[in-house]
Amino acid sequence: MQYTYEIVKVDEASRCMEIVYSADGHQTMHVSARLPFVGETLETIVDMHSPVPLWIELAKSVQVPAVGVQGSISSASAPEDVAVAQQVMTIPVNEVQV
Amino acid sequence: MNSIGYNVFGWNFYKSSVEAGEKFCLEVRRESSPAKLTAQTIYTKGRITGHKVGDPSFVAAERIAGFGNDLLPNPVPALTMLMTAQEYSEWWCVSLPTNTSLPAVEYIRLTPNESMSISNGDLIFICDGTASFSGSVVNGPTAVRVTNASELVAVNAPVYGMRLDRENIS
Repeated sequence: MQYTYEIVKVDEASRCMEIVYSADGHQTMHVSARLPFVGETLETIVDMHSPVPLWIELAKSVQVPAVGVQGSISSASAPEDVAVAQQVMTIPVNEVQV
Repeated sequence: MNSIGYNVFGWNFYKSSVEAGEKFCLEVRRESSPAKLTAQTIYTKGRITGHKVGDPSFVAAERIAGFGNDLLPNPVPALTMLMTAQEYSEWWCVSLPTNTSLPAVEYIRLTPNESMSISNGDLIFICDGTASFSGSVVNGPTAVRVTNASELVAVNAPVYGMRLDRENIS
């Protein structure tokens, strides 16, 4: 996905900046990010904080379950959940009934 | 800062963590009551200090385990805070615009063996800790739909979480 960015605010004292991300067909996003360290490029930080994964997720169609659907799910260990989450952006947390 | 997304009862949550010494900004764009902030947050580990950008005399309440929106001043002023993690820290957050609506949130913070009353139909998100629901033990992070329990007890260690209500507050 191609997007454009603009730095609209920089606060050197607090070492942060505001980036506005825009892409055709997607909601414009304002993101607060740290300033790049010496040796880093600005675009590294811009890309690190880009909302592309969120835009992709928001563009997906959803499945609507019927009210009343129930189930039982075996819990996975937290470390595995974490590893998976970094790949897929959002994972369902274990849900139980008590 | 590292953030991981979780889906809890249909809402998108983020678990975020920072290492000791890491700095980041917290921005409140409009004055708001704590309950109507567009991010509902509970801290579960660590300690983070902070102050208003440009005014070091305006000190933020320390973010320690158990700190949630309900402990913020009312109203929360519009401002930007520069936060510094004094140690490794974690928090859970549900916010706009990653959700079309936010739940009303009641924060849960229980000391070991402390209990609270719950009701059938409650949606409880145990973020961190081990909780017993009338004998059924769950470890956080777990979403718990209460159908047959009347009491939540923290087992051996603190429990941090949220009771979520589908009332749209945003």
